[in-house]
Amino acid sequence: MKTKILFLFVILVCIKLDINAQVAVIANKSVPVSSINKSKLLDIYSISQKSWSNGEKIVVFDLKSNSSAKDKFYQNIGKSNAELKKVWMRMQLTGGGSAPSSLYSEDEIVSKVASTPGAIGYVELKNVTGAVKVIAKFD
Amino acid sequence: MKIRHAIALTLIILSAAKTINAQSDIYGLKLYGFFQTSFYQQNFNMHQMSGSTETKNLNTFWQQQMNLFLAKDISSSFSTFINFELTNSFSTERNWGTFNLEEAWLRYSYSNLLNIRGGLFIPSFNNLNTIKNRSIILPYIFRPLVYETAMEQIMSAANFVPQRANIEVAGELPVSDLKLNYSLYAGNSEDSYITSDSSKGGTSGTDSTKFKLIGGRIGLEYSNLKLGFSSTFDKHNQKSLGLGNVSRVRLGLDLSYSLFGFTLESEYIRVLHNLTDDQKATLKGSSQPAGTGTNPTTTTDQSSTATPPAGGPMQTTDLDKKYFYSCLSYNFTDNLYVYGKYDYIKDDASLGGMAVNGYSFGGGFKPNDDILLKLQYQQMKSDAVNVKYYLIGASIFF
Repeated sequence: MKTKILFLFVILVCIKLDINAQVAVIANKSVPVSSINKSKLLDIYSISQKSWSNGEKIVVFDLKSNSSAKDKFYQNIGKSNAELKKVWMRMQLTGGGSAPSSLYSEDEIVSKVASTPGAIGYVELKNVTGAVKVIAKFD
Repeated sequence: MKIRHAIALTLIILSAAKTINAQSDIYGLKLYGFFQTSFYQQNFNMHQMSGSTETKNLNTFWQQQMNLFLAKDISSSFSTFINFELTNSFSTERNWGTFNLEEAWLRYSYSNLLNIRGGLFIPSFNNLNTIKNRSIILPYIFRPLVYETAMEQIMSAANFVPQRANIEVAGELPVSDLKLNYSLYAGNSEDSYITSDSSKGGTSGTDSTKFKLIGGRIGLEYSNLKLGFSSTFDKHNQKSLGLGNVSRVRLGLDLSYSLFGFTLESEYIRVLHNLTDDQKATLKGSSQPAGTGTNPTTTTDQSSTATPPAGGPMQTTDLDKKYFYSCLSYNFTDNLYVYGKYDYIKDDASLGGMAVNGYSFGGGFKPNDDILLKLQYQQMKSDAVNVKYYLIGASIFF
C-alpha cells in the first residue's frame, strides 16, 4: 500500500513539475538582443515588428500542435493563438507579412532557430541547447 | 571506398540543400489564395417605382470569388506582392465574370515608422477598404452595402471609397501602450478618367487627366480598441450631368473594439462635392424633371427628386453621400461566431433621394484554420424596394 502511495506521489510530482515547466523564448545567436519584454514579443508575433534593430529580418517560428509550452507562451504575451491566427491571415492576404512557420516539435524549433539568422521561437526550457540563446523565460 | 565517397557527397549535398531551403523559406516566392462559393435565395420586391408591386424570386449557386496571391520578400527591406482576382465564375469562353490585376506593388521598409510602397494597390480608407475582397477573413457572405460587388449595378463603391492608389508612405509609431499609424497615398483619377481605347489617343489604362487622387488614414490602437480617420481628395467625373469635373472629398471614421468575446466594427463615410456656381445652376436645371441620378432606376422615382423640398433646391440636386455600417459579433469559441449587421446609405444621385437600410444576421463555423462555413440573412429596404437574401457559403484558404 505504501509503495502505491509513493508511486502515486511520484507521478503527481512529475505532473506538477511538467505543469510548472518554464517556457524559454529562444533566438538565433545573430539576434542583437539579450532580453525581450512581453510587449515586444507580441509585436513580433503579430508581425507588427518585422526586423531587429540591426535591420536583420525577424523569422518567427511557432509550434503546430497544442502543448503546455504553447499555451503558456500565448497566455504570457496576452493574445490567444486563435486571435493571432486572424492577424496572420489578414497580414498574408494584404501583403503585410508572412505567418510564422509552424513546426511539429520543440526539437525542430530549436534546430531551425539555431540555423536561421534572425530567428525567434519558444520551447520548454529543458529543451534548450547551447546552439541558441534564451532571451526570455516564463513560468 | 567509392560508396563512402558517394554517401559523404550525398550528405554534403543534402545538408547544403537544407540550408538553401531554410533561406528560400524566408526569401522564396509564396503562392497562396482563397475562394468563396455560396448558394443564395433572393426575394426581390419592387413597389412605388413602377407604380405596381412586382416580386421576383431567384436562387443560384454562386462561385463568387477567387484570389491568387504571389508574395516575395526580396530582401530584409524590400518585399513585393501581387493579387489576381477572379469573380462571378470567371470564364472567357462563357463570357462570365471578371479577371483583374487588383494589386502589384513593391514596398521598401526603412523601419516600422517608414515604409514606401509603389505600384498598384488598394489604399487604406477606414477599416474595411483594404480587406473588402478578402472574404475568408470577413464574417459575412454579403458584404456591407458599399463594398458589395453585387450592388455595383445600383451604386458604385468608387463613389464612396478609393479603389486604387499608386504610391504610399506609411508607418507605425508606438507611444507607450498606444500605437499611432499613418498612411499617405496618391494615385490616378477615378476609373472613368482612365483611357480604355488606345486608338483615340493615349495608352489604354492610363490616366487622361492632370489631377490625381490624394488621400490618407491616421489610426490609433490601444489594446483591443482601434480608431481611424480617413480622407481623400480628387475629382468626380460628372460629364453625364453636364457638370464636368467636380471636386470631391471623402471622409471616413472607423472604430473597432473587442471585449469578452464581443467585437464591434463600425464605419461612417461622408462624400462631399464642391460645386462651382455654374455647376450648381447646371445641376439644378438638369435635375428638375427627371431626377439627378445617373442610374436608370432614379429617373422613374418622381416622388423623391422632382419636387424641391422646403430646404431649397440644392437638397434635390445633392451629389453628396452618407454611409454608416456597424457589425456586432460574438465568438462562442475560437471557431464559432454569430453576428448582427446594420447599414444605412443616403445617395441621392444613385438612389433617387431614397435612403436604403440594410439588416443582416448570421454566423460561421471553422472546422479548421483554412475553411470557414457561413450562413447569412440579408435584407435591404427602401421606399421602393425590399430585397431579401438567404445565403449559405464557404471560404477556403489554400
